[in-house]
Amino acid sequence: MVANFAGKSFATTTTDLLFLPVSGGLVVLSIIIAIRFKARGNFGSAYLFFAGFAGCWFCAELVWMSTELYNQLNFLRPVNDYLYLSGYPFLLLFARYYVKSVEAVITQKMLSYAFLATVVFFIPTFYTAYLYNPDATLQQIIWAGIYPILDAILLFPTVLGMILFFKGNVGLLWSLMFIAILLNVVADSGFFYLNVNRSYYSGNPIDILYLWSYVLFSFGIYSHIKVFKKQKMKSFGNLDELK
Amino acid sequence: MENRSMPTRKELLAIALEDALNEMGEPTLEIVTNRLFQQYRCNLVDCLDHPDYLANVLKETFGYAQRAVVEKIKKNLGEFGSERPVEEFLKVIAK
Repeated sequence: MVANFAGKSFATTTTDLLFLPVSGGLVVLSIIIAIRFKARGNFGSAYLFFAGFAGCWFCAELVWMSTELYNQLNFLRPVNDYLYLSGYPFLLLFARYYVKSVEAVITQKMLSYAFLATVVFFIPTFYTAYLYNPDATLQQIIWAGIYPILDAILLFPTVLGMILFFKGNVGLLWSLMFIAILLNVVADSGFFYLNVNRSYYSGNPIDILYLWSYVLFSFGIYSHIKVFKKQKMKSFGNLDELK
Repeated sequence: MENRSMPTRKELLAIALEDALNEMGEPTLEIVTNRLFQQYRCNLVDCLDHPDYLANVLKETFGYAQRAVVEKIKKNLGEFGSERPVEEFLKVIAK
């Protein structure tokens, strides 16, 4: 935000350089938790997919930064979108596998809440954005609109996760994920407007929302690392103590 | 006869618990057993005598989703789950 007062190009460079460590931090944290679970069990598979998501988005940020800093790498820009988009199936699979262990207790009511949350965020976002930009080409709408759509789809398992793990130690991840995805929905909607109006530039204040969503994802995963950290089992000492 | 059957019942229950938690992931079993020991100085085998301890640890860790773990334990126990002490145990941890 402050960088924007110093000019557009300064804001662009600052933002590009900020995205890399923030998304890189998320990759490191997701690798730590994936190693902890060794890809075993439903949670293990879930964390492996989360690491895949974090990896895809980190590569996307890397490519984005490279194309912003070096004009001759502009031909890589389309790759960027594919990298961001490829992160979404991983995130969906993460949510799917995480919830899989506890799906036996999912009720119709929970499914209704999750569906409602998805619809509440999806319809106004897409409709309003389309209404404000009736001159946009179909291609522009598809490319800019695909992100809010995917975010809205992601809200479904995230809301389920929030309800299921409510009050538990593992619930913080889901609360933070929910907020992070909400931020992504808002940021993607903003990006949708700006992109269609051709007024988006890297370093736009809207990028702060993307940065915060990385931070919240990271805190969520960090909370899980803390919950599932390897604890040294204290010696039982006198076994009679256990009887 | 009763003395001989009790340890077997406890062991079977511990296996059912281990399997249910392992399905989520090995560290899940670890945190539950660690918390049981740190907070109540007991292990999975002792859970039949203190189902409330296990119920608290599961609730504390998984929130509402602890019910899914209970369902999985029930499934693992099969008809053995209808035996009186085990049935009572299941009632307490399902609360």
